[in-house]
Amino acid sequence: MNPSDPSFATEFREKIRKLETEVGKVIVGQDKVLEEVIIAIVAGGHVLLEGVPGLGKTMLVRSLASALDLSFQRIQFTPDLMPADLLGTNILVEEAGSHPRFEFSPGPVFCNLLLGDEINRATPKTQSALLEAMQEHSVTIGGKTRPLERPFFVLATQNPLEMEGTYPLPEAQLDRFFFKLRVGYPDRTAFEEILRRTTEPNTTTIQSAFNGTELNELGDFAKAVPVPPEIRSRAADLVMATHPETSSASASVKKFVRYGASPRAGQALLLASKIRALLQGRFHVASEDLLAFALPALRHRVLLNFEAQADGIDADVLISEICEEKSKAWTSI
Amino acid sequence: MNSSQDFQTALRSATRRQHLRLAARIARSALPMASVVAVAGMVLAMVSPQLFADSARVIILLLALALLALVSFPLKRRLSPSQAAKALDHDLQLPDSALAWVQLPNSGKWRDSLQAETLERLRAASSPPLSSEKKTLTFAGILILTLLLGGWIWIPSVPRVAAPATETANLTALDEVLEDWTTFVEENPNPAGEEIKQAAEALELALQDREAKRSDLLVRIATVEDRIEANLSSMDSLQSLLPALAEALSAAVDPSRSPSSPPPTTSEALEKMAAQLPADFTANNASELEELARQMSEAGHTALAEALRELAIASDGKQAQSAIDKLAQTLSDAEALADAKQMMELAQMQLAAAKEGTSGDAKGGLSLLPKLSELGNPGIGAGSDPDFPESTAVRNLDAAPLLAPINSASQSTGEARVQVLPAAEGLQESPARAPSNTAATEGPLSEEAIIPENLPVVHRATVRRYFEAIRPKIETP
Repeated sequence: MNPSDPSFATEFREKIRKLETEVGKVIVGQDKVLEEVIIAIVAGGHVLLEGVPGLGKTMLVRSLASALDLSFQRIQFTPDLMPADLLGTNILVEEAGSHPRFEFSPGPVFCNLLLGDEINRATPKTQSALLEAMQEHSVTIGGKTRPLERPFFVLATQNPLEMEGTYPLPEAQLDRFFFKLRVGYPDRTAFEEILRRTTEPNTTTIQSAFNGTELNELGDFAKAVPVPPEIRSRAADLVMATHPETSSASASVKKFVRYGASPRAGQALLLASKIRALLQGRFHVASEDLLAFALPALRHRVLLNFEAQADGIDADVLISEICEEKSKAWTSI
Repeated sequence: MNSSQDFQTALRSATRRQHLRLAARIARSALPMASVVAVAGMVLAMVSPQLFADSARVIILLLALALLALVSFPLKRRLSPSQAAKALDHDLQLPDSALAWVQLPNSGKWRDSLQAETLERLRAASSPPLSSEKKTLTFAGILILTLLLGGWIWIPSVPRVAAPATETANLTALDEVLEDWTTFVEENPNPAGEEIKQAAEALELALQDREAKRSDLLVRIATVEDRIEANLSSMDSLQSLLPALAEALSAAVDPSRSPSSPPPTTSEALEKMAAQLPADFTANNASELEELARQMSEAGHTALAEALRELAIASDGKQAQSAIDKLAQTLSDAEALADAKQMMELAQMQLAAAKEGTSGDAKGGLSLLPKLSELGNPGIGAGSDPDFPESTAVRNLDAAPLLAPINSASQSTGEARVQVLPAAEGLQESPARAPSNTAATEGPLSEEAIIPENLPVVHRATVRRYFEAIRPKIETP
């Protein structure tokens, strides 16, 4: 797939649709979440899925791994989980006729698709063990840096922070997630379908839509989608609007936000927008793409202050306000 | 037509729609305010035309022009290519396709694909209707035209509104003039004045009758005018004969009188004649008196002619005394009427103006004319100065115009201040005060006169204009 040739856009769309179809065989009623997860994966980003237990988060990730024909590892984060359990460690190997030696035993992080289940149940020390892997796609153990196989994705799930026995993720790690998606309850129709599928004999098998190499190609192709200067400016505008210290910040942002979104938010916005544009049959990024991904790309990167927490203000509310305001401003001539 | 031309056409169309939309938006915002101001201006102009005539005109004109400028301003606005593209995207609900077309580099396969995609969207999309914008603009146009053309009928200077207003003002002023007139005739009784007074009373009754036809008023005004005209011509002819009469009367009792001696006035001649009348009086210049009697008779002064003939043929002092008494009585009546000459001349003007106002062709109101009492008939009517020196019939007939400079004492009394400047053609002497000084004090004086007066608000502007009208004009050298 040649990134300079837009004629591959149709093939791009077909592959993505096929992936959605395959995962959709198992996952019901989470179409939007599924699409956003796929977009994040194509963009090479990690996804944090938040939702109460039982909504199919883990199943979604397992299905994706199957459909993508990627090596998959699952880690159940618990409070006693240690970084070595995650990354791997050197173990002493004794063989006959030779001196004992240390040999590296890779942890579950050495895979293409890592499911970090209930990531916020681990301690911050263990959570932070993933920082290097997520950003540099490498792991340093015992002074030796080992690269991870490409593609590498972390799809973490977490329970809402209010639940017992959870540790909030550090901001640095949150920022490394491309999207933070909120998995909600399915509607009634989808719920009935879930009941049917899970309580009757299930013969559904997920077929591979494409492999890791093709996934990398899809990502490279999507990056070639052109962005008009004004749309790029609007992406920056949207991110800057979350910064309370800027003059263009709204009164709500100034009142409730402690730190605004980082540049990674802008990157995520534009990359995701490019993929969405292709999926919508366009050859350029539009404002509606930016607005479509404002919530998943910004909500975990906007750090609210104590006043917001005390007032029960959610980042989604502030971001929605910003989007509404910007949408009006962008359409005015 | 290639794809670029299609796109440019769509851009131009979007630009026009954007202009129309902006104009409609401005019109929509401005119309309620403009309507309220316009209606308020019209109501004020109707309630008090004299006060708000000019302001209503200015408000309506400015309002209409401002509205026109506001609405037409966006039509002149130039949109940048990006703005036009945004307008196109907005109109056709395109996902920033036109913007991307305009902003992305003009080469490469992605650009070609983008153009193909955008053209496909352009062809599939239909322009949104602009019915609401068109309605708004049509409404704005109607309002502007109404303000500029139709709204003009509310302006008091327009004949449809102005004529009745001016007519009312004129008739009110005429009413005041007739009151002055009646007062004068009552104070200076004579047959001719009595006739005029009766005609004036008939006119006043007609004026008070609001139901009276306009033609009736015109007839009555014409009647009064005829009477005044007859009296004025009679007075003119009498005045031309009076010097000869005085000369003839002096010569009748004093044949030795030198022709180079200063001519006496008629009253002086009559007094001297009565004092020196001998018992065996016979007129020395009977033929001259006969000739004068003939001229008087031809001029319509039959009473005077009759008295002169009696004097010419008198054979003794008794008959002569009887003729002299008749002469004095007749002259006294004529002189009393002559006192009203200036008033009659002015009344002629006022009646002419009233007639124009009544016929609906008035250009200005009677109220602009100076009143009788301010023009040499002191003591008559409102606004006169009670301390003004009384004139006599003889002095008014024979002497130069009376000049009465205002002093501090006279300024402190009366409703209005009157000042007659000693003009060059009067006493042949320089004015007591320079015109510039007079003009400087005239303004404050007129202000002083108006402010304490309990004038109706409606008339205040008229009074002010009256004072401005009589203010001496300073001619710059």
